[in-house]
Amino acid sequence: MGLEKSQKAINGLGEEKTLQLGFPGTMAARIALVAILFSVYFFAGKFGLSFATIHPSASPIWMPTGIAIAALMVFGYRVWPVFFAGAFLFNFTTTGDIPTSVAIGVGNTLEGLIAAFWVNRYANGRFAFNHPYDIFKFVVLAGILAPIFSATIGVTSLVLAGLAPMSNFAAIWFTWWVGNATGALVVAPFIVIWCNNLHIRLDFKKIFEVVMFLSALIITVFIVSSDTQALKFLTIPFVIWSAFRFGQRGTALFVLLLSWIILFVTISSLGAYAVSAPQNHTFLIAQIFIALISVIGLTVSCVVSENHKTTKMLLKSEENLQLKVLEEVSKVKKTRERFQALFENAPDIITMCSSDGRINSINPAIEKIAGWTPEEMEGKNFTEIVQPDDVLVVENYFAGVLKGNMLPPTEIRLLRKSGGFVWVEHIRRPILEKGEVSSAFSINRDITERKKAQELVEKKFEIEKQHEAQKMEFLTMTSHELKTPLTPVLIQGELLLDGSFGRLSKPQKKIVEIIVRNVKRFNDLINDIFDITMIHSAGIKKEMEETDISKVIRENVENMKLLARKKNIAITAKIWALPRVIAAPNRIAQVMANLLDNAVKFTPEKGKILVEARKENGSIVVKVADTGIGIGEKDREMIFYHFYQARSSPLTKNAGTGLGLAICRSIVEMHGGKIWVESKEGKGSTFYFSLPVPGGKEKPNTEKTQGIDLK
Amino acid sequence: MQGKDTVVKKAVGKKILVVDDEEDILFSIKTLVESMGHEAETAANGFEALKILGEKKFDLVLLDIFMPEMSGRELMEKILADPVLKDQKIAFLTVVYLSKSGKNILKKLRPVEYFQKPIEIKDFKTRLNRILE
Repeated sequence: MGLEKSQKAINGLGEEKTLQLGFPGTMAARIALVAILFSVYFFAGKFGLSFATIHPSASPIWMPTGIAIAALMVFGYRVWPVFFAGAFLFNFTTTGDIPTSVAIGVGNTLEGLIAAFWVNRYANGRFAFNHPYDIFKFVVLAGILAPIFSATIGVTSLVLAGLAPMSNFAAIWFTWWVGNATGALVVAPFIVIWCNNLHIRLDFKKIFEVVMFLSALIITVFIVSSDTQALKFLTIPFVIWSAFRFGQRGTALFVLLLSWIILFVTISSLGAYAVSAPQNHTFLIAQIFIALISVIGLTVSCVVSENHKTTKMLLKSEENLQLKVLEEVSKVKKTRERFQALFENAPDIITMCSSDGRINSINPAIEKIAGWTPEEMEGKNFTEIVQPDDVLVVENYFAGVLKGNMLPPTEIRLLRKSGGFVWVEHIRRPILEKGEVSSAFSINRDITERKKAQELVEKKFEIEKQHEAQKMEFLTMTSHELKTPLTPVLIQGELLLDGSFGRLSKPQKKIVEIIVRNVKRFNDLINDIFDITMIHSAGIKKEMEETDISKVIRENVENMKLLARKKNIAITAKIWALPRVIAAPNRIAQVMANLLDNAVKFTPEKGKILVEARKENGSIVVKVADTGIGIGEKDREMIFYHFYQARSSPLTKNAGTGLGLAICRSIVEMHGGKIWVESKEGKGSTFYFSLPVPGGKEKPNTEKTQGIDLK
Repeated sequence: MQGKDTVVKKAVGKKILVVDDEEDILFSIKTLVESMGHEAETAANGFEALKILGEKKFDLVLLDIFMPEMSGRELMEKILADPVLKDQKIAFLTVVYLSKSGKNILKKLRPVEYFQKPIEIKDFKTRLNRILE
């Protein structure tokens, strides 16, 4: 794969480690630095001055300039006193003249500071050699312009001090300037470049190449050592080799080395240490050549390394891009796999349908639930496996979804491959593309278990209903069977009593009366028991309907009036406007009849009965008050229970079955209401019952009271 | 409504058919009806009743609802379906409360009266006379 190859290539290049040198942090290191700089500068100066032929203070070989510029660039302007002191010292030791030594020290220091300042300001400082254009600026600013200061100040001071003849000013100045410029162009780059990165990474191949390079160089030097001109132009291929193969550091080192070789060769060709003007001229030519070689080497190696870096960067960014693409692809793949797994393993049937209803994809759940394989379903219309009765439901649902409606789930039957069907909860949603419904997906959940539970509940309900019906039937039959024998007894008894078969004697009449009364009582008892049982078995619910309670009350009051009139009892009814409620009208009538019957029964002649009905706190409250004998405190609670009759009642002969109020209580409670009594013995009783009004609490009765007097 | 002072004219000599499966009840009702001065015949079930109705004309049929084999309701339906008997006056005698649906069915059949057993003689006499008048 191309990618692996490029990755290898990148690994081969590697990210080079760098070890940069700067002004040290600790005092000891600073002192050491100053000491090293001073000695290097001083001895380089002494070494340079040993080549001074035209004037003892002006040498064509002048490395100190390069050292000063480089040190000021790398370690900062603060190291300038080192160079001032150095320059002063080696001049003083040469000429013994203090003023000129100070002036030359100032000139040399100024030269370094100006060069460093310009390069820092205009040529990217210590990184000037990273870019060809910055190298050009360095050459002009530090190599050509800055030495002018040193040469001018130095030579002028010498002339002024009378240490040099004015006639020789130009020649001395030129030598001074060339020496300094060469130092700036050969030595400064070497120091700066190496201080920027001291880290050396050597492998066998590199070492081998270096060995080959040096061997070739040495051979060349030996072969042509007699001909300096030939040597000079034969060094050019080596500079190019170095620039291409050993980078800027290698080239800078090589150029420095070369400058010494050429110096050495020049000296040996001239006959060592001959002091004469033509020698000075030869040295100057050699220096200019070295300076040019240095500039060429620096520029070429810079371009090569820049090109190298660009290629590396390009490769890296390409690799990053590829890695990113791979990463994205794997992410997408992972997401896809996850969704695929979800789709494959979902317990619900998931379908993706085109807008014509054809299945594009369907998950394996279909096979588990209905037996059809996804392969045989694809391309089919979903309705093909829908129970015919439900097809219309599904089609209408689908049409709704295509219109963009969000419909609630619906229950449908899917045909099983093996026959029969399975209940599923079907939900479908549209898939939008550019805002328009392009297709739809559906989720179909197997609801067999839910349906089973539902059926079970329905069955249970049905059974309960049946039980209820059976109970009712049993009740009806029991009541019928119990009452049937009473019928002839009552008829015959009453016939005897009304004299249809001749007059009865007094004791006979009394006996028959007892028989008839007790048979009637027995009949009432059966009726009440039937009622109570039926109310409790919720038979009453079947009778519930929207009921006008006021009408029921009014009718009952009306019915009771005849009986009350016989005892000269006045019944007054005050019925306010009442909301209609869901109630069993006949049962409420039964409650009213019971309460009114009791009221009449227990109220002595000329008494009063007051009936009131109104809406109070979300309920209808009905009140039946009498001026009768009242009920003792002990009995008040108990009278609503089965077969309880107030002991205080003197009219036990008239008493009913003891079930009347219990039936009333059951009826009221089955309506969700309450029944209670307030009473004072001897003064009368007031019975209340309430019936809840649905939602009655939210709106308290604001209707105007409208009393209806039925008297 | 009749005025208070108007004495209810006692209908006498009407023909009444009593249908009930209980022999004692049949006898009692017959006695009661006869004590009021009417003629009464009895039938112990629906088939017998239909047979008798085919032979004679009656002013009223007093019909028990709960009877084995043919219920009072079924008998009434048969009578009403018969072109000759369809105008026959029929009253029900029954023991139990009727359910809503049961009442609705009876309402459709429109019996002239509906007596709850055990009957109170006074009430029975008043209502019977009103029907027969």
